[in-house]
Amino acid sequence: MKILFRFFMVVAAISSMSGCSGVPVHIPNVPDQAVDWSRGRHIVAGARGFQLLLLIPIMTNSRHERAYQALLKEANGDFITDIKIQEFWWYAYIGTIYSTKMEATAYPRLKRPVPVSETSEPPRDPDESGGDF
Amino acid sequence: MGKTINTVVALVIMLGVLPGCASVSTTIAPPPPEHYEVLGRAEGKACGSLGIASPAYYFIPMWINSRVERAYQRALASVPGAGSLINISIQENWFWWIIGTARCVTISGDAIREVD
Repeated sequence: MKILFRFFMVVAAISSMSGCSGVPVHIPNVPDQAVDWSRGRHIVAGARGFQLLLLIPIMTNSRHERAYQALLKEANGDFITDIKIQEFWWYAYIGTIYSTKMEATAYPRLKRPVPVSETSEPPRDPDESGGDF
Repeated sequence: MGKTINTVVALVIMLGVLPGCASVSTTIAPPPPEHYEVLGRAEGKACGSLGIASPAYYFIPMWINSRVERAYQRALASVPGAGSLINISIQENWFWWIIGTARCVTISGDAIREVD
């Protein structure tokens, strides 16, 4: 009887281990049309979530997607590449705050659609001037 | 009145010393080279945790700050000769494992190599 009780305790403990998947973010970093590589600008965006009591995600699972969408909004239709990602966390007594920061360089698209092989060569050392979100 | 002020000051101090940390900034989508060949699909995964033992102490980082960088390096290493990735996908999963919360980052993409 004692063994049975322990078995059920173990099963309950394992089944109570909760988990979740974040929203996958797809980043097509190959230009689909000609890009003006001489006019790159640095853009930054971020998103936060809170893990309440370590088990209850509040906007945690979507923060990568939200950060990327915010980055696209900052780009305002420009092609973005050289995307950097940085993660932050803070302990907040009743949970943990998670934050994702994305940085990128946005290049204006040119009107004429051309194959990738015809685009000018991208810069080797894009501008890394600072900024914060 | 004095007690209220003390409480407020104590709260401010507590909030000011909330432990936290930042990962290194990792480039996951560099500008693609002018000419390249696609070598195949690459994927890398890396995990880290915040724990230990009691929820009150769930602020001790265990490899959590380097998970994005490790996932990217593992994705590159999964395809021999790969120099960078294009058409990238990034996803994070998490699970609770009693003494901590683990977060795993998976990065996948088309591995490429620059050609002349």
